[in-house]
Amino acid sequence: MNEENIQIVYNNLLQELRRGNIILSVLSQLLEPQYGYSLVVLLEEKGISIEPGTLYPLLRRLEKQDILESNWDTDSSKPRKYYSLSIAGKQIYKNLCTEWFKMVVSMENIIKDKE
Amino acid sequence: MELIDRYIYAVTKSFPKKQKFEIEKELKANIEDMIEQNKSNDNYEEKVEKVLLELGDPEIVADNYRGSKRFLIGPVYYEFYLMVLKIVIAAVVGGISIALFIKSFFTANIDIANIGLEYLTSIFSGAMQAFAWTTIVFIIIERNDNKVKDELQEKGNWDLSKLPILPNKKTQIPVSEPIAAIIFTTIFFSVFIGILYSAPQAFAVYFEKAGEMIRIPIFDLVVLKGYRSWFIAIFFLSILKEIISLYYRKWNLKNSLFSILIITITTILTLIILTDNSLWNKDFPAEILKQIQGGFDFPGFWLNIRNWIVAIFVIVNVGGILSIIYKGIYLNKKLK
Repeated sequence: MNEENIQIVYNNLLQELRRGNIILSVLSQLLEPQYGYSLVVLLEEKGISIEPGTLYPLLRRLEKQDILESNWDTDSSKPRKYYSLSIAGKQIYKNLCTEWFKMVVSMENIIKDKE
Repeated sequence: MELIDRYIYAVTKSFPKKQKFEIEKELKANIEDMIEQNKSNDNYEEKVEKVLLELGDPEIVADNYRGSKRFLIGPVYYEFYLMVLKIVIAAVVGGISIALFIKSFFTANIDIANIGLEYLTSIFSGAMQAFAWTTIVFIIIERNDNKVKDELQEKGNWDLSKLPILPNKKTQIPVSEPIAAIIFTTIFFSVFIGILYSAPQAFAVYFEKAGEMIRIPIFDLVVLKGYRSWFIAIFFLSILKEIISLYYRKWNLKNSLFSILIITITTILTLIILTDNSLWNKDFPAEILKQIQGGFDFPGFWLNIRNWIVAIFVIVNVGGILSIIYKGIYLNKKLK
């Protein structure tokens, strides 16, 4: 495999690795209501970059699955759709977090073993 | 701003009305926010362009909203589609070649350039037809295929009882069988239909007398031409039957029922054609009699031949149906 191909394969794998974590990072920020763009900024600040073109549709899909609930805020000058975790969403998020910490421990063990 | 509206339209244009309205509203609010948060020194137009470029290809954004990609022919069927397409096109090309070869025998003063041109245009239009029809059939299958979706959804609740029964050799269909049938059917029908359209007078008995060729047509040409669309229908139904067999590759209940239905329809259509007295050239027996001379009762013999054709045709097709009932319904029940 030449340099260029290695880079392409690496980028694909990295993207896949990140993709798996997007939902958990999004859910983690929605204990408080956020609207689309504020969530992009918030995640960016915390070192998670996610494309707006991916995030906006994702919010809508999560809402359809009843993990998120939404509210149109029409009081301010511009209407905005705010999303936050539903009751079911909070439970799911909590369970996912438990799994996440278990996974971190296992992964660390596996990777360190080989080093 | 026109660019924003055009972008939103590009994302939402294929959504149903209600969803479309919601996505539009939300996307617009988000885009305006993104523009507002851009504190650089760019002017408004430049900011809009940057934001839209950041959002990226509207088709991809639309796919993200949909949560799934849309296909004309999806990955479940794509390989199968390509295989059928290759077979059908190869068979059509082969059939047209043979048909034109035969036709050139019945054409006086063969003009090579003309035949060559006709060959190329026929191949082109034949291949296009084959491509279009095959594709249409597959698009219909894809649109109506709840089976794949159900199976995908059911994949989670699996238990040992759902393991398939090991296929019995007797109820299996080797791939070569439907492929051979498709090739044979296509070649036969493209030769037949080809002649039917270009030189229907070729269906005749020929005598050579004193260096002169005498041609006695078997059919009444006007009536025969009237049945053209019937033959095409029979052809497509026969191909459809083989495609279904090729898909299931075993005589299960569905495949058996489809096949029985199609054989029944094509048999009835063919019988209507064959038993239509006006189809046969009424002067044929008398003309033949004139040529062969002697006390042989040709008209009676000819009527017998016609009856035998019908009888053999019925026996073959009923036999086919019985064999499918045996393999697809009786054997399958017994194996369970």
